[in-house]
Amino acid sequence: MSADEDFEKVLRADLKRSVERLDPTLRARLDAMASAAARRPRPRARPAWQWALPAGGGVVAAALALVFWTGRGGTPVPTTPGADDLALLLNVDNLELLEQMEFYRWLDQQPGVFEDVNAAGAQRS
Amino acid sequence: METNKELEVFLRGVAPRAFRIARLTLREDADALDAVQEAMIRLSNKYSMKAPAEWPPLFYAILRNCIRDEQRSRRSRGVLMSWFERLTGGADDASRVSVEDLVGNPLDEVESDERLRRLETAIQALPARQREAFLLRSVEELDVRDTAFAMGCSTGSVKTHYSRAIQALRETLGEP
Repeated sequence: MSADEDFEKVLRADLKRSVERLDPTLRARLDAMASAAARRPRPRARPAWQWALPAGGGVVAAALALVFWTGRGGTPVPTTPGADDLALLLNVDNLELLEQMEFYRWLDQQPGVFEDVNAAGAQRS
Repeated sequence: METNKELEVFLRGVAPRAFRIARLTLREDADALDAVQEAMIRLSNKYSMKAPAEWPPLFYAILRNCIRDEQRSRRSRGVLMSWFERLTGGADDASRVSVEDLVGNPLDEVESDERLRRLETAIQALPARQREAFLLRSVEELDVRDTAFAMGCSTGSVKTHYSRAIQALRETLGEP
């Protein structure tokens, strides 16, 4: 055993002795503290859904803010061509167009009618 | 319930050594008792469900923080008291309550032993990190890994601090 190890051994023994020689009153007090700490009711862990509440609230608030922000900016909401057609057809002013639908369908099927119009447009450009 | 019993046995076993460690750093019985009590409560509240093998390093990591908290609050108290004494023209000696009055003087017997007294003085004179490493390794007999966890540093640092502490104590105390 080296001199260092001997020295450490003596120090440890001295420290151990100092712990063993603690005053009995103090030791009793430490025991009482240990019992009280071990037996005290522990704070309950929060259920997971309680942790999710603030996060969920934050997400909802962010979504609402986004909706209000985009709505207030006046940026045009893109619409699909199908929706445009439907709106056009449902307009009361265009009821006449609906009534003449059969005519336009017949006209579209006639050969040569639109070919002339397209050819004239191409010459102009 | 089983955990409570196990935890109580652990805390009862560790308390005297924890008190010695806290006492050597804080130098006041009342402050050391406060630190140990707070460490016990925090371990019980937060880590009682951990495996008992994990309790020692966790307890000493908590105790280390509690000792630091005590040191901070003592500094604040010191500032407040000196301000109060200046304001009132000094405290009345009769109104002072000594720590011995509160808890008795449990170390009378220990302090009568000259060698132990010299050892305590030498330990208190060590730099904080060396003292922590030395006390955790020597009093609590934690291994290097658990000491590193309790001190919040690497195992290499623990070895360095511990070796320097031994060297310093040897220089101060001489050969036993």
